[in-house]
Amino acid sequence: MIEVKDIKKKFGRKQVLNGVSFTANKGEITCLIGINGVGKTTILNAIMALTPVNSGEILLDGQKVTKQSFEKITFIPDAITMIPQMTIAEAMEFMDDYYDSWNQNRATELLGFFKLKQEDKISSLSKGNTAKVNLLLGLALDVDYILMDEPFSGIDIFSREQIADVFTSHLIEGRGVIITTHEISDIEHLIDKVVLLDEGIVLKEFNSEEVRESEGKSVVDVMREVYKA
Amino acid sequence: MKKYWKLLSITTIAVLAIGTFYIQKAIANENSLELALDTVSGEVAELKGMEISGGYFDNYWNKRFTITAGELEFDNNDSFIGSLERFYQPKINQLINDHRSFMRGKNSDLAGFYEDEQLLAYANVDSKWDGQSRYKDHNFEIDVLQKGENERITFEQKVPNQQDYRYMYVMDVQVQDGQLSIFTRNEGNTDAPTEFRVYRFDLASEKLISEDSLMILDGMNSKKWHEGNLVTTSTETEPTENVVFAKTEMEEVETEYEEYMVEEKGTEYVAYNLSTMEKTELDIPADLSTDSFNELILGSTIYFIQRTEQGLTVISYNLENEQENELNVDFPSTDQGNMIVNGKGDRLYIVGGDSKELPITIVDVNTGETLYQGIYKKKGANGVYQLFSIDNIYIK
Amino acid sequence: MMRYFKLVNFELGRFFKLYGVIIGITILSQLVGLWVVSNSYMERANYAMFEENLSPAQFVSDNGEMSLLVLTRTLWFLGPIALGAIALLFNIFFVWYRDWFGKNTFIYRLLMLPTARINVYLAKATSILLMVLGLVAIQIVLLPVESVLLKWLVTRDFRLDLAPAEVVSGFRELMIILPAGIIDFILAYGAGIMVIFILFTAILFERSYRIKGIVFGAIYVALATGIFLSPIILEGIIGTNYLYPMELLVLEIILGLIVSAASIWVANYLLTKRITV
Repeated sequence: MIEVKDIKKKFGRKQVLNGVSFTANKGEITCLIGINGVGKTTILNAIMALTPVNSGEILLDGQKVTKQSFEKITFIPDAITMIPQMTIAEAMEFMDDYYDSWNQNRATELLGFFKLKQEDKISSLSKGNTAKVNLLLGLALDVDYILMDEPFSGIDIFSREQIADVFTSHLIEGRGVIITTHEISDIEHLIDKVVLLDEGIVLKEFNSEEVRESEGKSVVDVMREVYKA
Repeated sequence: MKKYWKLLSITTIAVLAIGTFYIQKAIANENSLELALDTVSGEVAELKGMEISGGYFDNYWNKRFTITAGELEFDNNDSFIGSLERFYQPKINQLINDHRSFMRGKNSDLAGFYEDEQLLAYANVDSKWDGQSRYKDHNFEIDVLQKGENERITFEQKVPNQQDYRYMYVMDVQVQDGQLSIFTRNEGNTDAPTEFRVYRFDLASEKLISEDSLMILDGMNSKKWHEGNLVTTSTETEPTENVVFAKTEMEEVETEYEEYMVEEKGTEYVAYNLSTMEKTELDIPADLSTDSFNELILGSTIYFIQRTEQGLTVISYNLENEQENELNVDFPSTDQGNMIVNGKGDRLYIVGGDSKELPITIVDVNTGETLYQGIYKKKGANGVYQLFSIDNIYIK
Repeated sequence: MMRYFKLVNFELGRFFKLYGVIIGITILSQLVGLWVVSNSYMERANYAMFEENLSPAQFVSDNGEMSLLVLTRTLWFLGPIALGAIALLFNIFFVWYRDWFGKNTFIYRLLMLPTARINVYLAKATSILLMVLGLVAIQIVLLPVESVLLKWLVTRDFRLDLAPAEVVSGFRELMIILPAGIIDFILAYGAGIMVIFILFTAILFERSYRIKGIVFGAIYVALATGIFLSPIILEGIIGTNYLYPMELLVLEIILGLIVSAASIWVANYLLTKRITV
C-alpha cells in the first residue's frame, strides 16, 4: 500500500499541495485526476523522493522510500528516462545492469507486443513509440507498484489503444498502479479508484466500482458533480 | 568484464603511464644537463662549509641547485615539497632546527637575530599601518633565549618618540655584557630625514637604558639626497665589536643626451663601537665606495672589492689601526657578470653570477693567497642564451 | 560498490566520443606540429650552412639545438592541452546539467536507481578525474613517440634528445599537469578532486533550490574556500607566519580532506532529501 499523508508543498509563494492524503492499494489502479498544474506530477515525484515536500509523510508498505524501494516501485514519467542516443537494446541492458528486479522475458514480450525493434535508436522513434519504450522500461521491472504520469498525453490513437490494452493484461495484474491524467475517457473502464484533486487538496477519493453500483454514476458524472460544486 | 573496457583501459593507461613517468624520473640519475666544476687551482676541499644556492637557465633549462662543498645538486626535482624545505635561507633553517619553539612566528630576516655561544636574541619592530600614509604604534618585540638553561626573556617596549617616525625596521641586533642593542633605520615624517639609531636595552631589567642617533641622511631634495646602509657583517647573526654605517651622497645629473642619471658623489663611514658606545667617523676616501661593487666587514676590517681587468682588487681598512691595505685577486673567468662576495674569518669567498659561467674564488685576506679557483660550466653544446644566477652564499 | 563502478564506466561512455576527439586532436596536432617545427628548423639550418657557410656547431650555438622543448612552446603543443583542460572543466557542469535538460530526463533514472544516490555523485567525479588522468597519460606516452620522430626529422648534429621527465621539467607550464614529484602530483590532483567536490555540491544546491540555490551554492563555495584557506588568511591578517611551511602543508592537507568530506556529506543530504527533478 502506498500511503500519502497530508503532504504540503510550495513552489515559491504558490501552495501547490495543501495537505494531500490518499492511499493506493496493491492490485488496484488508482487514478489521480485534476486539471493541468494541479500538482499530480509533483505527488508522483514526491512519492519517488524526486522532490522534497514541506510537510507530510509518504509510506510504501508502511516504510519510507529508500534506495531499496526502487526494486519495489517504479515511476514512468511523461518523458523518456533514457539517453536518446541509446538503442532500445542498450536501454534494456542498462536496466538489467542496475535492477535486480529487471525481467528480460517480460521485456521481450513487451517488445513484441508493442512491435518495437530493439536495434532502433530511441532518438529515431516516433512520439508514440518513445512512450512505449518508456512504458516497457518500467513495466519489465518485477515491482509491486508502478506510477505513471499521463501515459496517454500527446500520443496517437493506435498507440493509446495499445497502451490501454496493457492495463487489462497480466502485465499489470496484481500490481498497484497510480496513474495521473487530466482526461479520463480512455481508461475510465479500467480504474478501480479515483482521487479528484483541485487547488492542492483532495476533493474526493472514491471507488469507481462502488459508485457505479450504488449510485449508478460514472466517474465522469462524479467529476462533473464535484468540480461544478 | 568486456563491458567495462572504458573504465579499465583509462585506469590502466593512466596508472601505467603516470607511474612509469615518476619511476623513471626517480631512477634517472643520468641527467643530460650537466654542470661541472673545473678546478683551476687549489683543492676542492677548500670549498668545505660553503653553500651556494642559485639557478641555471637557458633556452631549455630552468633548474635550481645548491652547491655544497663544491658538489652541485639539483634541488629535489624542483618539487613543491622541496621548495618548502628551501623556504628559508640556510641559516634560518639551522636556527629552526635547533630552536623550533623559539623561532616560531618570528620574522625570517636574519637582521633581527643575534647568536653567540650562550644566547640567541631576536628583535623586531612591530608597527601598524594607519590606513593612509604611514605606519604607527611602533613597538619593540624582544625575545632572548638562554641556550643552556633554555630560558627566555621576552618583553615589549614602545619606541620612544614614535610619532616622529613613519616607518622603521631592524638592521642589526647585538648583545654585549647583558645589554641588547637594536640598530634601526627610522624614516621620519614628511620632511624629517631618515635616521639610523641604536636602542640599548638591559636584559636583566628588561628596560630601555639609552638611545642614540648614529647617522642622519639629510639634505634631501629632488636632485640631491643621501642613501645609507649598514656595511654587512659576514653572517649577520654573529657578534661583532663594530657596526659600520655608510652614507652616500646621490645626485641626479643630466647627460648631454638630455637623459637623467643618478651619480654617487662619495661615501662617508661611521663606526659604532659596542664596548665604548662611541661613534667614530672613519677616514676613508670618499670615492672608495663608489669604485667598489661590494664592501663587507670581517673582524675589525672593512674590505672594499673592486673590479679590474685581471680580476679583483681588495682594499682593506682596519678600524683599530686605521691602516689601509691593497691586494689583487685573479679571477678565473673572463665572463665575470655579477659578483657576490661573502667572507668568514680571514677568507673571502667570491662567486660570479648572472653570466654564462659560475666562477668561484677563495682568498686568504691576510696573506693575499688565492686558496682556490674553479669554474662551474655547462657541459656539451652551448646555446646562445645561458645564465647562472646566484641567490645566496652561506658559509658555515 | 559494483554499481558505483558501473556508473563510472557509464559516465565515461557518455563523454567518450568527445573525449576520443580531444585525444585525436592532441595526437594529430603534436605530431604534425613536430613535423612542421622540425622542418622549419632544418630549413634554416640548411640555409645557414649552404648560403652562409656556417658549420652545424656554429648554427647550434647561435640558434640552440632542436629538441622537444622547442615544440612545447608552440601552439601545436599547447593548443590541444588547453582544449582538453577547457573541455574537462566545462564537463564539471555539463555532467550534471545534461541530465536535467533536453528532451530526455535521464536524471529521473539516475535518482531512481536502486543504489545510494551519492554513488552517482562520486561516479561523475571519478569519471572526470579519470579523463583528466587519461589525457595526462596520453601526453606522457606521446613524448617518447615524439622523441623517436624527432630522430627521423632532425640530424644528430642539431638535436638534443631529452627524456620525458626532462621535457616536463624544462618547460614550467607542463609542470602544472605533471608536477615534479609523485607527492606533488598527489597533492595537486588531490586539490583538484576537492575543487570538483566543492563545485558539484554547489551545483546540487542550485538543482535543489534553483534561484535561491545559486546563492546557497555561491555561499558554499565561499565557505569551503574560506575554510580551506583559513590558516593562510589568518596568518595574513595577523601578519606573522606562525606555522612553519611543513606544518602549514599538513594542516592544509587535513583541511582539504575535511572540506572534501563535508562536500560529499552535504551532497548526500541534498541528493536524498532536497533534490528536485
